[in-house]
Amino acid sequence: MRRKKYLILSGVLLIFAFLATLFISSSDAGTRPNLYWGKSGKDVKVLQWKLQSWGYYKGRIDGVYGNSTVKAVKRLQVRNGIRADGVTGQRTWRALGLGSKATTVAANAPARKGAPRGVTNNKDLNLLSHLVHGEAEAEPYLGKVAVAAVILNRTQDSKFPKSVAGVVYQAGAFESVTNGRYNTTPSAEAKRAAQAAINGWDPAGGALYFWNPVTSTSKWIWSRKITLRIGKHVFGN
Amino acid sequence: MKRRWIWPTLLSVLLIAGVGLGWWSYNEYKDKKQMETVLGNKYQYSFYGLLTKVENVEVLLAKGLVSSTSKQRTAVFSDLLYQSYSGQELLGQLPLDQNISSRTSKFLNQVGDYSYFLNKKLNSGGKLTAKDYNNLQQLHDRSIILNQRLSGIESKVGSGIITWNEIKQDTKKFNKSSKELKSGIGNIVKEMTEMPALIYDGPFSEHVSKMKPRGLTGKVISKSQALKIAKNFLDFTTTSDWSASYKGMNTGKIISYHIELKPKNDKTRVIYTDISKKGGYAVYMLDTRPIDNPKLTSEQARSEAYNFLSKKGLPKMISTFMIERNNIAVISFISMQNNVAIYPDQVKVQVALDNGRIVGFESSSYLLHHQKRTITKPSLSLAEAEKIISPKLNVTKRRLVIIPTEGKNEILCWEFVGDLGNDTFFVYINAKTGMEERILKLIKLPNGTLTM
Repeated sequence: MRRKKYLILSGVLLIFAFLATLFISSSDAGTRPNLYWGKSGKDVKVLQWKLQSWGYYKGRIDGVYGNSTVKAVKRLQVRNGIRADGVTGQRTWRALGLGSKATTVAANAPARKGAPRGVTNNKDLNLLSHLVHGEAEAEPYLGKVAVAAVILNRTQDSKFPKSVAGVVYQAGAFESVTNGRYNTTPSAEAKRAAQAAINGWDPAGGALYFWNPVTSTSKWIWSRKITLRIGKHVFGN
Repeated sequence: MKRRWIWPTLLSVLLIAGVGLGWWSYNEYKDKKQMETVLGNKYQYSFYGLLTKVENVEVLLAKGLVSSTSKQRTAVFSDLLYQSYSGQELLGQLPLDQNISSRTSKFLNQVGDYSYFLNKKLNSGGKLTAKDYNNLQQLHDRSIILNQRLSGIESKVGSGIITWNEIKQDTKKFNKSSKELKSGIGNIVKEMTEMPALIYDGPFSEHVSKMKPRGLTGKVISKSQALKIAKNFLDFTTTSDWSASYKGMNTGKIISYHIELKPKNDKTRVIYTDISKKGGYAVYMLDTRPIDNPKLTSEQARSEAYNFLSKKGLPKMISTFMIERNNIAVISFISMQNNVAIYPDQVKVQVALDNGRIVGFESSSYLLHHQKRTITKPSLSLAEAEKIISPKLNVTKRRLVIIPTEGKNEILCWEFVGDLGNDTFFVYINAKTGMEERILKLIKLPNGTLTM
């Protein structure tokens, strides 16, 4: 009888351990705090600044959630179809483009004058930001811009696919795409770098290739002519 | 007596865990096999699609050589454009390393591009020249080779001699040694010899990639001169606590000194710039400082950009478009000559919206294209050109401009900006022939403004 009791006990313990690991691994690290009247601090400042840059908030950015902040939040909520209670919850944060701590500034601000019609390069910005983050996160800002520029240069060259998606997802082209590191959320710097490349900045001077001379295992890549070195990457054609 | 329960309990726990693990890993294995099949099927789909398109390209190129009526020819070339571009897309889906697929990709791109160019020529009353026939013949010869090679691979894959997974592994080996590959895929690289220079007015013509910068006038400068120029290019009133250091040469499109500028009191701040070896021009400048609390209006940002350009000695430029993102305003400028706006001479400026200082500058387009141009008088008057455009367009602005063609040649056009409903369009009428050269639709963004 005692054996059965201990069997059941160890089984229950195992189940608890399993559930605990599941719970820990799935907990969301870095969600924004819920803010309401009377709160103060850095998060309130971020909220006020974002509301001000979109024209909802006209007061001082003092980090104190007072009446004018409540009014501004309500205006935003009405505009975005959220219940206008003046409390900044997760939906309100997302409407501001500040869903989780990983993103600092929204890449796509919701339109006030109407949604952009036709073709935009928002989707290219997303693809490029992910690639820059996966391939060059440890590189200086200029190296990031150069990596993004290489992708765009490829779309213009006859040897490569014509679209950004075609270049990024070309089989075996980029290590971070192949091993999935590409799917992590890009840093703000990666986004800024991708945006600069889309706007036309090309520190790589037209280069079509980049690689890390220390870690690269491809013999073929060395047949390319190197034109520039930035950080740990060399660039070439 | 008391300890006899330990062993059986442990054993049963281990047994349960072992069975659980075994069941879980078998499921994982099944999933993996399933994924491999799905992926292999996708590769098959892309490969068979590619093969079909290449077969069609071979047939169409032959038809293009033989057909005599212009109507038939335009149909053939339109179809060629579709088949080759579609084939090139499918090629990009296959697990082939870029060094293996690049020749084929380039070939298909050039076929499509050349067909488009020939069609345009035929549509505006032109004829195929002996050179065109020669080019088509050469393209056709290569399409035969490509077709044969791909068919060879198909028979091996179709009869189960090799799977796509093995081809993937195969191509990785190709990087490390040039031994004969089992699939024969390496032969494509050897036998698809490059076309002799295919030159025409299209983006993939040889002359585009070999263009030399036209705007680099002046003497070759030394490294120390470049460092001085870099410091003077900064947008600060005093630059005495900034130091410039040389970081290497950039031997890309515009040969330049790659320079980093750092202030004495801030180790994290850095400004990058390339100064051209010939002429000492700033090719680009990028400041990396974070920008918060935007305060400037769009108008103020634009006037800061204008001031910067004139301070740094650039000729008078006019702004065309501005977009604000992440507290930075990016403004595009083009040059003017004899009251004609010149689009290929483009410069871009980034203005920080917190203090109005310039945090970015880009002039490679200007340096590649700028030159003193002889601008002939337009053969069509403004009124004559305006008659040509669609009466549906409500025209609001008109001027003479120079625009680049796809092959980087330049043509003088009348530019009309007009609205149709909620959309704004730019229509370009060739000032010599009256042809409608290009139509652009303006994409209105909430944070972008046209500033013509």
